Amino acid sequence: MKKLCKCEKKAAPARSPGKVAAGILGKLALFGLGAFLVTFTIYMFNLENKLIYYVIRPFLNKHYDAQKRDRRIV
Amino acid sequence: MKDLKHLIYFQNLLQESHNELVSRAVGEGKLALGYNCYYIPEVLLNLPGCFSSRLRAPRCQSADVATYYMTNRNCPYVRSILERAIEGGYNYLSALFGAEGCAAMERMEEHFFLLKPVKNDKFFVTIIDPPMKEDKTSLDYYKQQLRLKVVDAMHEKLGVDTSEEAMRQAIAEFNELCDVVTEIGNFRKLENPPITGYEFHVIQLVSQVCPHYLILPYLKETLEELRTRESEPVFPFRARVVVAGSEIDDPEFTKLLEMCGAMAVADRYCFGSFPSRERIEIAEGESAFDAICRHYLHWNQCARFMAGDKIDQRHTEVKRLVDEFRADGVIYESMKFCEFWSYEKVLASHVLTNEMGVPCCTIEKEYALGSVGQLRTRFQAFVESLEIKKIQAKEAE
Amino acid sequence: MKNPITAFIDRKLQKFDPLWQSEHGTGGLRSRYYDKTGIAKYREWRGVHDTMLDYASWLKNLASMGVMVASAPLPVLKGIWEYRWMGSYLGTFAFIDRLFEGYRGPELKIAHMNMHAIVQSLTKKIALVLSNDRRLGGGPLTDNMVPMDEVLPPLFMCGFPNLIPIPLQTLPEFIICDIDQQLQPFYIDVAESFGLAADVCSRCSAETGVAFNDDFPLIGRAMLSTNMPCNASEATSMFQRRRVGLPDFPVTLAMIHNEPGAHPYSTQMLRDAIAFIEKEYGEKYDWDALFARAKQMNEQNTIELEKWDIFKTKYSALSGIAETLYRLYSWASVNGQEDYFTKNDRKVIKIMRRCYEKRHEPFGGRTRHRAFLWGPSAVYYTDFPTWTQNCWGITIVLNMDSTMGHNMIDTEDPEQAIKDLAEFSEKGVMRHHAVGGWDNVNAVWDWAKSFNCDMVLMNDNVACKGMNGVHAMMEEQARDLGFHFIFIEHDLEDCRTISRRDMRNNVNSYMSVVLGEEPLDPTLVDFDDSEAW
Repeated sequence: MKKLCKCEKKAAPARSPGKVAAGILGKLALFGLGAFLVTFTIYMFNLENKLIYYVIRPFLNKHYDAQKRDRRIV
Repeated sequence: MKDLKHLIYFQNLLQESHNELVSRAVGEGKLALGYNCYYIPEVLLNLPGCFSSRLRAPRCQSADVATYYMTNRNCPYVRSILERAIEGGYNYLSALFGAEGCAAMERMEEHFFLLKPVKNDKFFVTIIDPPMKEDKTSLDYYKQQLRLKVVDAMHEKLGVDTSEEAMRQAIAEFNELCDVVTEIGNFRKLENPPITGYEFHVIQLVSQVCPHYLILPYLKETLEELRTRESEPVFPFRARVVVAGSEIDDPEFTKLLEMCGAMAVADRYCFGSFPSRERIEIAEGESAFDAICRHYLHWNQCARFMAGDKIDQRHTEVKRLVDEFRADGVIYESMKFCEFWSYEKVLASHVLTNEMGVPCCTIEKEYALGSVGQLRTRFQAFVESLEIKKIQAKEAE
Repeated sequence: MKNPITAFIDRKLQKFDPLWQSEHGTGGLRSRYYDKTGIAKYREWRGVHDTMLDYASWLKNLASMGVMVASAPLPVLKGIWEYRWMGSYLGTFAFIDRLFEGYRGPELKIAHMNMHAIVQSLTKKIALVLSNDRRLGGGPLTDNMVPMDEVLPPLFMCGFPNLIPIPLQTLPEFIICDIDQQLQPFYIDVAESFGLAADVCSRCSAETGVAFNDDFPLIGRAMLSTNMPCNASEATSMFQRRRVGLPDFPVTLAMIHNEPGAHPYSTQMLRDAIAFIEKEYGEKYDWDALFARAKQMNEQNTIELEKWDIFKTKYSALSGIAETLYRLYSWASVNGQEDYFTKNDRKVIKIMRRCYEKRHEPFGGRTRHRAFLWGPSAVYYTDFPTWTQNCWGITIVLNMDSTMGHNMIDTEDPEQAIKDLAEFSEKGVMRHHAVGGWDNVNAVWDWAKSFNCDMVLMNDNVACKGMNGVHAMMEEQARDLGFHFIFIEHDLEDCRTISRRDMRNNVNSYMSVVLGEEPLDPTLVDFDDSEAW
């Protein structure tokens, strides 16, 4: 069978609006599922607090300790 | 210097609240009215038939029972007063006029009606809510509180004459006492005074804890004696200081300070003469009662005043005393656990030192004179620093 | 009825539920933590429904924080870089987790509704303050803000609709100490390094430290300080007024406020404060604007009083810290200014009514004692009521500070309104019952009796001179009246003097030695959380 070159690719049949909507919904659902899985994993394994406690706060504390402040009574 | 004739007598009067003169006055049918705080005008408690008794707890070494009631994390002055009350030391009182000057003070005064430690049938307690500013709203409230809880209470419960005439008479007698004490105190302005800070402290205290009409003759005699008393050939102290702060009613504290070489030339603390011995002037058209309220709110130097003008007044008043009494520095004292003076001494010593150029030393003390060694070290170091400053100033000239 | 699928999952996963673990001796609420840190290895498994509810609430709070950053990205980032206290707000999620440990069902739902109300309000306030902080470049509203002492109820300021009252100390000092116990010791050390005595109230010492360390946001044209609630607070105001450097008016309300003579004075003081703001900001007081907000406050207080009726029964789905923290924030910081809180109250009371009608017993019916929490609570141990509930079955029915001003404000007559406001304002945080005379503090027994409590937990702030002054009298009263009575020693904002662990031991000793009871969850009896936020 003769191979079709790229330019001769058959045009895809036009998709019905219902299918388009289903596709978008599917993608949204997929995105939602992905977002849920990511955020739920962060939530369940307390990842945000671990990051803050072990990485961000020590870094910030180092910065605060090095700050020069206008420390005086009045 | 030659000993003052009545000094030992005065010292003895300070050994007990219920001293010889208090006993005599009560025996003569006078009503003893107790108070703790400058917010209660002393003059009102000296209306005809009454005399004021500012509460001290001399020689109080432990306050175990009061500590049970108020914990050991509270002001030692109020605990000592409560302890003395429970011991029966104030049974001569017909009333206690309290002031919510601070929370600890108020709680202590409340125990006077909760525990009923004063065994006297007439005895009652009222507690005023004193204002924290000097504006008209605050003055009106002060008047209302004093009218309701002091003047009316005295009249209704003890039958005291609180008329305008009676108040004018009380003011006149009070002014007479103030003039005598002020004149005695003014000797401290001299370069080489014929009186020590300790002696004045004793005199000021007896004027607050004894019936005025009984102590006045002794004070007048002392004043006459001082007019001719010869000072030491050379000023015996190494420095002159103003003592400012909270409650100091133990002259041994002043003695300790002076033994370290610093004469206490002015006393701006609770139980001191600044404020307490200023004359009360009645303005034209003003009632005696209004004049009393205005006077006490104006001269009050308590660290609880919050308005900017009153805060500044506290500092300028100390500076005035430094200038008038030719002091080299200021000792700021606070009683342990005193919230107000813990703050004020930090602020005031900063303002005095950095904004007014007056050297300051801050200390904290117990009611009963403890930690003498620490205090002595602080005082000595401060005196030395003042001496060094003087030397440096001379060299700079 | 429970969904059969979730019921099936719950059965399969119940061994991960710490409440199940503690009942079966296989662990408990503390088992999932790294030692000392207060950081959990994983979040609490509460069953499908409640875990999803907790997760959704976490997302909602996360969204609020996202909105905060999005609304003012630069000021917020600058704020985190500039202010030490801003860094501590990163601990908010861990804070919420520990507040509601062991919560299930409607208790959890209400707790999260209340907490989200706080989070959405606080995040907006942070963004607003940082966007207008002169130190960070200022903003269009800088001059319209009125810095006020945080314990002065701001409702009366609603008569200035063009101005924004900001409780000055709340962001850098008060709320943040709830979230991070390690922060305020830094500021306390700063204050003490300038000679401030170590025995003064640590809250005020911390405020002083914030002032000395130049850590207050710079906003407004004039400030309102106050004598509330007590002595140390008055004293620290003197430093703050000088350091902030704005014209100030001390709103000194009556200290002995339970007497009829006190109210006219406080009323006039509020009038004077209004006149001061009119002069400094060139604004005219608008009574209609006040009435509009007072109506909100009145409705909140009406609902609050209905809540109290339910608190008196054993069927209240709201208690402990979910009640305390919300009331504290909604009364002291919001004070009728935000509609969200009225709406939230309407929803919460509906759930509470429903639970009462169904005779729902909270916390799985594991309550053994009903306690009234009296005296100012430790700010660094906000989740203490949660711990008493989970460890010993002690439900904190109501907290002293929840009884703050609940009189109604007249919404038609300015003369009556200002009088009502004075009475309302006198009964502020740490003040309604802690200050103003013996009768106020001694009122605890009537409160405890009327709320059907058998126990009083007495917060014993070691630096509070006023409450120390009634120590033995309270103990004797408890003995005479037959209440279980425990002093909870603490140091308000300094966790180094008396740690959370020490506080727990006060309760442990009483419960095990005096009452001879066994803990509900043995993992909670003694643990180290000294390095936790």
